[in-house]
Amino acid sequence: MGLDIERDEDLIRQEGRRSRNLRLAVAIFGLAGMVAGYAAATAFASRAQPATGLTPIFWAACTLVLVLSIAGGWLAWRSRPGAHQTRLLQVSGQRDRMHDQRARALFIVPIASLGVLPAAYQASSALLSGDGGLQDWALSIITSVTFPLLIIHILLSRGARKLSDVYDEELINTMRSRALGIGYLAAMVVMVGLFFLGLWRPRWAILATPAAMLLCATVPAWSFAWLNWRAGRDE
Amino acid sequence: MSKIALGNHIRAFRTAQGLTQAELAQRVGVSRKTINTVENAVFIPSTLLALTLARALNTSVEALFFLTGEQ
Repeated sequence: MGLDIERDEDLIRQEGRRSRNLRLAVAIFGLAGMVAGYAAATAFASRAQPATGLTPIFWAACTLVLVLSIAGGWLAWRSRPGAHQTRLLQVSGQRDRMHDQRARALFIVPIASLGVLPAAYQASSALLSGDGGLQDWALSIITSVTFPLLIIHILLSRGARKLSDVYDEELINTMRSRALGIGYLAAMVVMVGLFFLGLWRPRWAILATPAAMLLCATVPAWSFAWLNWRAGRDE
Repeated sequence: MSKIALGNHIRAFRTAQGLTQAELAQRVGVSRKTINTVENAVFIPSTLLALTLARALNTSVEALFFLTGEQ
């Protein structure tokens, strides 16, 4: 058992490069988001003041967002945690680090997702009042569906095929099952609450749905993160 | 209905061999958390994991695990 120190350091350097590439991919995604925001603001301005020559800028921004998103997505996929780490797993503690990465992501992503709720609320409001357009449908779907799905994907992901033995670890599967059980219970409670709210104030129920969906995804995610933290505690 | 639980001597075997939880985890091919939770009887391992643990500690499953509680 055991690798020599030089080999361990080489593997850890590889992990460092992968981590740097992942940060770069996140930065590219962030840039794409900024451009998307600029394009949305431009589109909004052009709707208020038509025929000002903003359409070409809007389409150029859309193209740039597409290119940046594809580039960022490719880089993120290439440097995702666990992509080239089969050998690295032999380094002591690397399995725990991978599980901790997942738990951290499950804790942070729901908090970060709170930022999109106002946008979801505004888009849903516009649709309900009959002023909404295609962009409101798109924004509503993206904000209310994408983020809960992303959280559940992180929870259920079994990683790359060659790392399936790591992600299929018994303890992780047990913790995932418990977290999903708690999540199912929470989803039932949230749905009943949403149903009664809908009977009383249908408009409020529709507006609350994105937050309810996020809550349904957050409960199992945080349950898993908590179980993971508890499993690492010495008793 | 009797209440039976699973106890273990993993910590004793592990420390006797001078192994840390992380080193045993590396031998078995699981995370340190798995070893920690099994040692603390928080998590009941499968037969496969129990046999692998016993092999990694050069002992038998019967020596490593025992039943506790009333029967």
